[in-house]
Amino acid sequence: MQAIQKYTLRVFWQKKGNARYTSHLDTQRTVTRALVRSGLPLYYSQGYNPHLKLVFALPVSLYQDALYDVFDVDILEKVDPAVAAAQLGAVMPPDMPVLKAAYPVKKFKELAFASYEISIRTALSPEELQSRFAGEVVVEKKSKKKCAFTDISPMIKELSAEGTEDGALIKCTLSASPDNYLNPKYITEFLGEDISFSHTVRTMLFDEDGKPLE
Amino acid sequence: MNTDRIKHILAEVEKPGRYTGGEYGELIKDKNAVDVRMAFCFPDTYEIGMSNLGVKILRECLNAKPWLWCERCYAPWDDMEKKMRAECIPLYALESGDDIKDFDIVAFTLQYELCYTNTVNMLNLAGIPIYAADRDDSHPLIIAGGACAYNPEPMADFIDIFSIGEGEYALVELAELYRKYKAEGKSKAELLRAAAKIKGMYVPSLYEVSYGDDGKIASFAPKYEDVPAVVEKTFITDMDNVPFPTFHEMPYIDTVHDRMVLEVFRGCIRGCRFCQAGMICRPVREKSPEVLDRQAKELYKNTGYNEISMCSLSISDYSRLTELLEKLLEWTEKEHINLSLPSMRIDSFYGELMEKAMNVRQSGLTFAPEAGTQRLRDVINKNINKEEIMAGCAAAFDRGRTALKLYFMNGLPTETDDDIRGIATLAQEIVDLYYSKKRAKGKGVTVTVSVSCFVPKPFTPFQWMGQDRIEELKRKQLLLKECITTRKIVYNYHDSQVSFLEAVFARGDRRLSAAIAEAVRIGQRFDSWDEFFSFDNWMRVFETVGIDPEFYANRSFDFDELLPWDHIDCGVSKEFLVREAKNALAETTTPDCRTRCSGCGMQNKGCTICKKGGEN
Repeated sequence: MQAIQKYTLRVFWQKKGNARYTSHLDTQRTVTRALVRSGLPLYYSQGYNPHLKLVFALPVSLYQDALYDVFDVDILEKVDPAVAAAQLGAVMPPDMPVLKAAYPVKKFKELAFASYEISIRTALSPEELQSRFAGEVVVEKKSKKKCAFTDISPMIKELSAEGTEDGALIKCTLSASPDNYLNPKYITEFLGEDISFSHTVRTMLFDEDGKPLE
Repeated sequence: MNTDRIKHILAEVEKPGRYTGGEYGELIKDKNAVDVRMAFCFPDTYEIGMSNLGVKILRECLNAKPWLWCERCYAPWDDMEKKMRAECIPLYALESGDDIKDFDIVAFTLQYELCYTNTVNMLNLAGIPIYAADRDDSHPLIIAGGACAYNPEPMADFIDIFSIGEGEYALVELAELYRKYKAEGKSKAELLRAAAKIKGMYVPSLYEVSYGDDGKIASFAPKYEDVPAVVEKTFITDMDNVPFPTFHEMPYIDTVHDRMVLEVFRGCIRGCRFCQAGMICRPVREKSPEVLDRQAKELYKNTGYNEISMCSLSISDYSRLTELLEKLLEWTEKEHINLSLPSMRIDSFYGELMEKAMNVRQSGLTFAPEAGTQRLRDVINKNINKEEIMAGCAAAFDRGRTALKLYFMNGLPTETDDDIRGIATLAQEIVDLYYSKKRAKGKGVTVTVSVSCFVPKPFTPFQWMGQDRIEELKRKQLLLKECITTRKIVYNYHDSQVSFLEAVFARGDRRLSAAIAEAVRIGQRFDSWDEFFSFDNWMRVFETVGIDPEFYANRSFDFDELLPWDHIDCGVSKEFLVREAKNALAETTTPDCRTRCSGCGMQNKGCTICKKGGEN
């Protein structure tokens, strides 16, 4: 069978507001349907169960916002990315707006860091917070296979805190490479009982050169 | 909606996506620019409510009016309810986030008897007095409709107005009346009196009931002369032109029926004697394949779904099914859209086209013989014989199907132990049929036998027949279990206690409102969910309020008894139902409407089938 000519289109979008309550599985389904609605010339796998080729760079966890999120989708024609972005943007849910579309510059595996803003309700001062993260930061890190106490400080590239009305805003840049990903939830978990409510917003994804992932 | 007020709660409940709204396709209007604000409440979870086509259709009709905004509201799961109560957050609508108690009209759809507690609980959670008599002009108008509204009596004390029948136009008419009366500053009492004159609107507070010493209803009559003694259902006559929503909210989270739904026709030609839908949805009214094809294309463009489900009571009875499937297959195949054809009759034409149309990925098929012996199938008027069942199964096996699911009922009127054994025999013969055929090596067959308990429903020929007692239903369930000797047959059966409660409310009168209120008070809700159903609690409730539930569920009513729903006219005449009940007892079948008109009462009320040639 002759191979079908296809192209990968990269879509930059946001997941925020009420969309933060949508799990990754539900997000995939929501985006798939929006892609179908957009009328873009989508590529379907040629097997028994045809489906889109859709890959997300780094899905945020439930309850987290992403102001910079990325997915790749395979299409059959080389469309104008600006037109594609407009077409898709018109049919995405209101809390999942499209920022732009482009043809990929970097591969997803070149993703290196992600920056976050974590607002917390706490009695701790920004200085106290920062000093907590000065030395080793040991958390109980869970993976599918094991659960172990790990010092995550090498995975924290930057971290600063500033005071807010009812607590603090932690700004941090964490490792996000495929083999060394640090979920920002460990930052709040580390603070444990000292905070009562937190909300995490991922602000950017960076490649190895420290540039926004394109 | 703006979720700031509940943000901290949402992080602590299961499936927070149920409570936020904000989906693609959500309809937002300027609340200051509309005259009437309405909340359509579904007394079950978001996932179930969002799957309901009826609610989508009605909201489409209502929202077509620029002066009205009809929003959505679903029953919060108990984790969310507890948090809302703890923080004094009343029930709110998903679009605006505004409190339900501040709406003009609050509508409930009653799809199932076991959602009555949820309905009343939602009123309570909204901060609205549950009893209609305790509400004044400052409270919203509470209305209800849906299949269960055909016997509205158990909910009579809570609801201001019931809409009987199909509400596409009737609800808009009611909303128009509300708008006019609101502008004129008229009272709720005046509104109710005027609403009772709209066809299909039943205002329970305008009727007086008295009971005899035997507990039966002695009289039921309107309190005023200008209030109709009998409320006639409303229904649509021109299906092709009735508004149909092809653009609607797309849920973020997975719902029960997360696919395109195409309503092919309403009504049923069959006349199975246990089936309420088959009676109350008469006459049969079909949409044309052209309209359906156009609606399917619009739905696909607007939703991006990859499956179309064809909705009807019996899809193989659609007179232009081949034409419709051909039209759809022209474009759905290349768009990777699956078609699904639920509710197929086993004796229907099961040909190449249908096989092609059906989801290739599913290996199973479901049929409903309903009873295990020919005698009992004749009693219920299923109009299917053994040869047809076997031929249907053979056709399915020949096309590579290896899993069949068969629906039966136990506790049907006149049922004997032989009828129960007949279910096992029939299932075994189907298994044997599979092994008598040439088949792929190593592939076994699974025949699933799913048995529900018969519940007598209003407006069916079986409405007078008492339900088997719980112990008897259980004995029959175990008898069938003993009769099944192979593991090729998988046997499931329903909880007879749940079916008992269903029967109580299906045939109940307005004295049951007290039981519902008491059940809500002690914390019963989501009764249709195993997690929450409690038979013991319900028995305590009936004891507290002094009601004998067996009076409603298990007692056989006399043909001349005044029934709690006799003031509702569902179109089909009582004479016809009596005739059919007697035919059942005589084991005489009645042919389907296309073969011969059975004079059900719809002949002069818009039935197109008998006009087309059946004798009348």
